[in-house]
Amino acid sequence: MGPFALRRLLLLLPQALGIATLIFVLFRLVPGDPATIVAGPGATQPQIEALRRELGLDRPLWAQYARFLGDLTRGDLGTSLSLRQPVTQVLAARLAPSAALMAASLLLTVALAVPAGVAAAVRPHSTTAQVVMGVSVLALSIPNFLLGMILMHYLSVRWRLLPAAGTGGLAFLVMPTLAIAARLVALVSRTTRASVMEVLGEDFVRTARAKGLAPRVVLYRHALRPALVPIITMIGLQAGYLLGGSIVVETLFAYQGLGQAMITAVSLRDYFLVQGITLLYVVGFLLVNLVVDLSYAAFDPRIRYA
Amino acid sequence: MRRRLRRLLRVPAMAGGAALVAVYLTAGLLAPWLVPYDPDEQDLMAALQPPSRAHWLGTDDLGRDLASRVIAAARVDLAVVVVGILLAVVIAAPVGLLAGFVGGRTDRVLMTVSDAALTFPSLVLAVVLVSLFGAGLRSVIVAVALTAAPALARLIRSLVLQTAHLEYVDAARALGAGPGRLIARHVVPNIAGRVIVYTTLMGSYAMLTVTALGFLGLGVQPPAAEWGNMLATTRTYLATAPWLLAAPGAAIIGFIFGLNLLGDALRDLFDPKLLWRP
Amino acid sequence: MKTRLAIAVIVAATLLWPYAAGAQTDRPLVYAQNVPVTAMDTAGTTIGTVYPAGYEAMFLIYDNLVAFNDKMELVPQLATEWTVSQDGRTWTFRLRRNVTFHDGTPFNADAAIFHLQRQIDPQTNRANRPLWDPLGGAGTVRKIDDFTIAITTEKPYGPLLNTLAHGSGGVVSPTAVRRLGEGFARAPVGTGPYAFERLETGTELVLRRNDAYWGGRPAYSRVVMRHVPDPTTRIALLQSGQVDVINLIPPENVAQLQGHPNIDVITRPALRTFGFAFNLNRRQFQDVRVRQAFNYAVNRGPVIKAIFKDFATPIDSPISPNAVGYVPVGTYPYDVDRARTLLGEAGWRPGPDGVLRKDGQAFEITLLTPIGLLPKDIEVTQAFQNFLRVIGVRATINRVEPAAFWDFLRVPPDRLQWDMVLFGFNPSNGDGGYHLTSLFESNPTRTGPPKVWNFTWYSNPRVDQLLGQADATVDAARRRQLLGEVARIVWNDAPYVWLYAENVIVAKRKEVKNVEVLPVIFTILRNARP
Repeated sequence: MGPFALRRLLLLLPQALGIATLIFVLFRLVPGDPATIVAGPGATQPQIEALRRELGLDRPLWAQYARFLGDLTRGDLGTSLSLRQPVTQVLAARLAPSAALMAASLLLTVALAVPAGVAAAVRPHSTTAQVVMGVSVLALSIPNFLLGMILMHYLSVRWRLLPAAGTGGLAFLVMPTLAIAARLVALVSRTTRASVMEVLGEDFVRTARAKGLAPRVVLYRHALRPALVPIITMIGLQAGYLLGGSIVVETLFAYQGLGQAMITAVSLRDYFLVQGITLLYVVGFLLVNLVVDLSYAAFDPRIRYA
Repeated sequence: MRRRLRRLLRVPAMAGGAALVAVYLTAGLLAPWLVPYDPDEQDLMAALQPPSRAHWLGTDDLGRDLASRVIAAARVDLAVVVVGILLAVVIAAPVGLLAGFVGGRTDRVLMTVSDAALTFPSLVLAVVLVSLFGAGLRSVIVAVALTAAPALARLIRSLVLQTAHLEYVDAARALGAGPGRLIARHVVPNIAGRVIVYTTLMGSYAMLTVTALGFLGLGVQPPAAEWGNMLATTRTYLATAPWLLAAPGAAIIGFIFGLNLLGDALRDLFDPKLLWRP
Repeated sequence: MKTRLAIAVIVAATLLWPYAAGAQTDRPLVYAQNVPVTAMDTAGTTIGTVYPAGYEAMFLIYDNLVAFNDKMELVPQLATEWTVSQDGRTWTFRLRRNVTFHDGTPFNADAAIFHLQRQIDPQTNRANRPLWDPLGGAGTVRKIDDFTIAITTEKPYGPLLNTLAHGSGGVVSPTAVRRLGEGFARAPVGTGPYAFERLETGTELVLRRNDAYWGGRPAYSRVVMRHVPDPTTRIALLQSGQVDVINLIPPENVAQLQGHPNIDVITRPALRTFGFAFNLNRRQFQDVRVRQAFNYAVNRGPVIKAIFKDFATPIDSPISPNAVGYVPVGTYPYDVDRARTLLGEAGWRPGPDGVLRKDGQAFEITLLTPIGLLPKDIEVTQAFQNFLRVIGVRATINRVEPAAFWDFLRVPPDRLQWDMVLFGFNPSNGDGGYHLTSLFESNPTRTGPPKVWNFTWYSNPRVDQLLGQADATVDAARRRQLLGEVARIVWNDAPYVWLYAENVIVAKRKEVKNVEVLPVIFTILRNARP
């Protein structure tokens, strides 16, 4: 595990460079150039020119790229035009609510989907199994914003159980979490079911059973651990959906995280803030996948990275 | 192969999914002829009518026939998804084929780029694209294409790697077939099926992105009907005229549901081990 | 199984507890607005504030010399009494004593003069020029003693008190302005009942109680102005009791809110009038017959009924019936035949596809509209597009974000990116003369952006002359006559497709009292109390 983890961590460097480059390219492909966006439709040509000089956009592309990378390594993401404060400060303020939302979604997924999937796998023809599969198919088909709207209408407006929108205590997390996690819960419970069923048919499980171990022990000690691998893979694959979902759901629930900040930044044409938030999202994606890769070895006894 | 397909169509999930998707595709293709009314024709005096015989899904806040708008929206939404994914294939196929076939440094460079692109959560990339290039149909299609392409390129590459060393490909190579001929005659037919399965699975995810953008007001713009923007612009009627939301909402759910059924069945058919779900 | 149940109960309780605990005794007053507060300086060299949120915040932070009450009557605020000289040119104000700014600076004649000069001088204040230009050069304000000042204008200026009561008349702390410079807009200091605490642009503004307020201790420890762009979310927040006041309620939600036991809906006819403005720099719109034809093509009744549920009134003048100086000047009844005839006279004939053509050019235009900034903006624009389609004009809608909208209007004439735009002007001093001057007085130069909101680039020397006369007229009847004349000329020249005057619709929790909604569409919370 040690050398593998080290190698995996070292891999982050080229990945980060690749992403920085891609963001640089993407944000400079703007028709006209970034200065026209920053200046807004009311700006005159001299104003745009002045801004271009100020932002260093009049210099050769490689010089801009070098400066961009230099700023990045110093943790300088520019200044938010609408908030008039460093982008990094804005990100710091918005990171915690979004991270809480992501963590809650993952927790809910694991807490709900794994037991449901196991139950469906152990008794594949039971009512439980059919309910789990049916609900999961439905949950996969409903877009998060539609689910969020329905939740808000019933849980908050009609039944007054939860605050309708905003950021605050745990109660504010419930509906956004449900809206984001529904898809993940569905996918993970299906994956869990499939992989537990597969593992249950394998030799070492049969051996364990033959040794006379209690079914529960067999299930938890022997079958579930290897079955966790595809589950973790699935979570890694869905990290993008999870992060992207936060944009829609945070906007819907006026939840003050990165996603809502991103939409606000887009509407205020806050170029550097959009760029900074994008970068943070991508880094988030990288980290989730790092954790996923590292946890493979921890969960599957058969996997050993040399 | 044909027998296998016929057997699979007997599986209710597969048949149901295929039928549902076929309904949507037909509605989308034939929308201009299917709509009972002009979807943009307004009759303000007949606004907000509940479902009736004349307007079987009712009318919207501007007195437009809701059924016609939902069908017209199917055309827009499906077109964006299909064109977007086709565009993704056009981008990804050469990259994946080249990386898989040539290997070496070309492979490493191409895969580094596509891996970097893969780290953009698709909706994040879509929002960025729309914010930089302006909201509207074109941006949404590009967003769908660019978010689907990197994963597709990776898949094609891995399929090529599996195929390229099959015996008959080696044999063809030994007989002096050039790389172009190898790819066209042996590799492409071999991997096409799986690529199609994969793009089907991508379709439902692309639809989620398109409607989410529409909902955020960054996608297809009104008065063009699009399921996501229909939901966004009529949200205020949830309490008083819920059918305005029920219709486009059900349309989205139905389409994704059908595509999921079909995609899962196709995956079981072609590639049972494929875990990846876009 | 029992343990599981217990765990479930504990988890549920933890989840719900913070929400239940939200009902503390010292709650802030929370107001959810459709647009964010971005800047709070009464003057400024850029248009920094977003309307109306910025002014609504400024009315809490600052006091004016005189103010409007909710009947739009002028009442004393920092000036306790005033007199005007016989010739109508010199106004003398007695100032309130024992008032300090939030930063401790005392309020006196020097502070009042600093504020007035800063507003009057175009170098320090580029906004709201029609209000401040008639006050003349900076030398017109002088100190008589520490608590008396006099303003002498070059010509008599009838609506001077209206200007002082306008949102830009809030008195700023001279020390803070000097210390902060441009930064003052984001850390404002006034004498008002609530003082600035913090601003998260795009999210919320938090104000704290000014314990030393001269008018008595304000009721709330804090006032939070939160940006919630989505109307459904605003309504849900109000219904669940998380916010106390919300603005810009879609007419279709009024009945539902009125049925709610804990919610009051406040609605009143507003001074803001709406229309689609023509870009008069476009050749096809330089023919008055085309502009009139467009006016005849719109059926206003169904728009008001279906889209506004009757929370709007068709207008018969460019200014609202409730504005000072209003007289009815005409109507454009719905008459498609007449519209077609007028377009035909102007040389536009239908092509094979039904679209009008002239010299081989099809009649195709763009309509600019913001999203969620003006009441029912996108719906009205779609209805208008459809009315145009009927007379053979093909229009494309171009939606822009609320924050970007004003930038599309305030540009030099050669940089306008639209052919027609949905616009509503609110004379926030209550005066129709201000309304007409802002929209229809010729711009001094074509090389810069419009001086105020004449982005149609309308220009009529007769209108300019009459507006000048009206500004210098103190006699109300004579002034009304002059403004009526202006209104009639502009109405017939039709630089707009005239539409309707809106009703402001605001809703609040029943337990919050004294929320004032002005016809100038501002919601004033300074006197609100539980």
